[in-house]
Amino acid sequence: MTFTSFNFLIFFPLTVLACYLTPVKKRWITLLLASYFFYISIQPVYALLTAGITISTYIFTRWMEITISEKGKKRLMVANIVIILTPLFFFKYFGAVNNGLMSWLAGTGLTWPLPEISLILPVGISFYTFMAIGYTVDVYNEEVKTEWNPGILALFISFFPLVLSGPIERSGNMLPQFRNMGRIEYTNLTSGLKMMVWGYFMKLVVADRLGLYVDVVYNNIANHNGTSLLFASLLHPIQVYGDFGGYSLIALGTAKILGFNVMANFNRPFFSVSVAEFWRRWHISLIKWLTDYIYTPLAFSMRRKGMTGIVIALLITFLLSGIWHEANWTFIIWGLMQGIFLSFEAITNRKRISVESRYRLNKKPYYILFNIVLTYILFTSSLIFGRAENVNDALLIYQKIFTAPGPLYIEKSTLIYSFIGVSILFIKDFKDEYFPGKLEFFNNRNTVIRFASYIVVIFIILLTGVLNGSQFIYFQF
Amino acid sequence: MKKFILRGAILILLILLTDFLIGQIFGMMFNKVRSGSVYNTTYGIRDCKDQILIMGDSEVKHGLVSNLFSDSLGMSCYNLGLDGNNVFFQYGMLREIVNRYTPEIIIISKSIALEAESSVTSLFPFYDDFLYVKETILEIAPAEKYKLISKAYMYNSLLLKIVPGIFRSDPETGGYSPLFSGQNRMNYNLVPDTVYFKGKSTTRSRGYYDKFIRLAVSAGSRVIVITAPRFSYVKYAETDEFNEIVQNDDVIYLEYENDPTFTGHADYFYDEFHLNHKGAVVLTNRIIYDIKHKIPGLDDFPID
Repeated sequence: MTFTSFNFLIFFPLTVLACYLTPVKKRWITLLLASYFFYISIQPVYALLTAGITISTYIFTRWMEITISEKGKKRLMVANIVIILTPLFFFKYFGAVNNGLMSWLAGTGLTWPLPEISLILPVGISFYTFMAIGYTVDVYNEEVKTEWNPGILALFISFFPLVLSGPIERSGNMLPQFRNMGRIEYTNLTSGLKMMVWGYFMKLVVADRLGLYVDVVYNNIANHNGTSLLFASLLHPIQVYGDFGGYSLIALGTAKILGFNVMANFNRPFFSVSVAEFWRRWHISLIKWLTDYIYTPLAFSMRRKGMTGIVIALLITFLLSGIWHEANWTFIIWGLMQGIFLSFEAITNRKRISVESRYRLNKKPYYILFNIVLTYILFTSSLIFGRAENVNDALLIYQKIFTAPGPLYIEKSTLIYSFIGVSILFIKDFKDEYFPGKLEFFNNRNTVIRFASYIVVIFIILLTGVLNGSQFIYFQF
Repeated sequence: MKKFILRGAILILLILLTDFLIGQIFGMMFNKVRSGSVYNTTYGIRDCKDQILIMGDSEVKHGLVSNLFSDSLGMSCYNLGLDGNNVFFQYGMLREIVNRYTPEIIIISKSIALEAESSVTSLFPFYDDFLYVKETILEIAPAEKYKLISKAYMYNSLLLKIVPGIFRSDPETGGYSPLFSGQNRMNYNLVPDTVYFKGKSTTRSRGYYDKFIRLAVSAGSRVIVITAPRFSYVKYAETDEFNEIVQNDDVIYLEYENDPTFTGHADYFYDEFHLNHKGAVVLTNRIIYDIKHKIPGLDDFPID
């Protein structure tokens, strides 16, 4: 069961109903059962893994609580992190390392004792593992209280709106909400439903429709010219935004309906005027996690190195971000490219600010537009590696973009439907970015306009959405 | 909460009303379509009476020239192929056809069994009015019963097929849709190669392919299964299970895949998987020649 499956449309209202029929103090039990049912309906065996990570985290954090020595606490924290990272490493990286070693040794004429391994990644493992690590570190740093109720902790790690692809929430935000669940709020129900409807629009109308074009071109790189590859590459970031941004909004909406506030994962990223700003608006929960647990400690430890320390910390953080996505050279290069872009911005930041303020460039529309376009192009150029099957394919795409122009491959109906969806999405984002509070549709005070806008969006989804229950891109990570 | 329930009820009512209206409008427009894939499917399910029917996906849609069959065999022929479709869709359509009449020959492509996805979306607009279509949809995808309560869902992604189809007419090609080399949209600089075909039949798709053949044979039609040519030499991961279905006395099995007449001849191909018009004419004539030798009584008509 996923957010786009028909079963979810039955499961979710029943869960909401069950939740609200359960006394507030016992509601966590209903939510925990629903969360495990949700996960088991996708991958039954791997629910044991989620339970195992929860048990380990619970035991070690409670143990940390009663340990007095700082050294002992640290050991327990590291032990738990190692334990809960083991399944992630095994499922995500063991196959890649094994197969890499095998092909490397084969080149030298030696043999590797293990066969080629291809493991099915337990869905959501990267997300809930990070949540469990975050909680462990927060307990160690005494930023959150140790959760004494194993059921609440289990709910935090397996909460069904977040378990498959985040947002990677923080215990400091979620645990208090699980402990003190509130009453039914009319505003939560309506704003949650609005988020869900818009999330489905982004996923089904924008992302899945663009995916039809991007997949056709990217799955047959050899036979497409540079123009088509460039066009598909430019559409791909919007596809990912629609897919993951849409997923995140549905997750936020479901959580909101159940009475929980979850951090936003996207904030109109394509209106960013720099790569640094882009990463404050794109996959916010992951970047915040990486900033808090990787970048800041690293940068702090290298503070005496000045700018060099910052650059090293940036490169390591985004290298890890790439590896987090996939144990593949394509994502390593993708991560390094982000690190390089950000480092360049960090190095030139002071100079740039002084030029901008001297000529008041920040208020000039052409300068803003130029920076928005440049940021988009930089992100697109890195995402070519993220989307290509391997580095050779990515390089071939680059080569063709610059050397093999030709007529654009056109799938008329796909592109027309995509154009409609993308236009609506960008007009809304543009309005929200530059004219917040103006020309509201979903939040209009006039009930007729509000209802009309719900109905229009719902029927755009029904008539032009790709309704084949496709998976979300980030499930693979 | 009362406020939410009341407003929610009004909104649901409005949604249902809009859905009904959209269903009525789209239904009217759908029945006025005179060209394109929507017309093709409507013609197959509702109207066709042709003696030879060509069924399958894009390989036959753009690869078999209906008029050549008609002229050479003296039988009416229509090409019901539909781009990107599968055996599940074709099975639903066949049930309606044989309920109406018995085609003398049904030519069907093998490749539709290699499409694992059991999508029957192309049948949705016929759900309410055609019993066998309805039964097929419910048999293949039972959950659609609930989704198809929505009439807008029934016409999902059809707007851009319906509207032009009302105002345009297809040329008199009997459903055949030619592709011309000059229209190649991809950067083809074709070099023949050996391709390991990734598509795999599933137990389910093979099962429905078998059901399709049994249904056509039991209705009294001659079934001809063809594998269309590909530009490259093709190897399959597994063929044995599929071959059991097509290599028996009830079926005439004609393989043109890896046929030296076509493989590697770029002037016959539109892209790696589809023949252009020139290639389609050559293939159709080959099939006519071959079936004349396999079906007694057909050899009285001259080959063009």
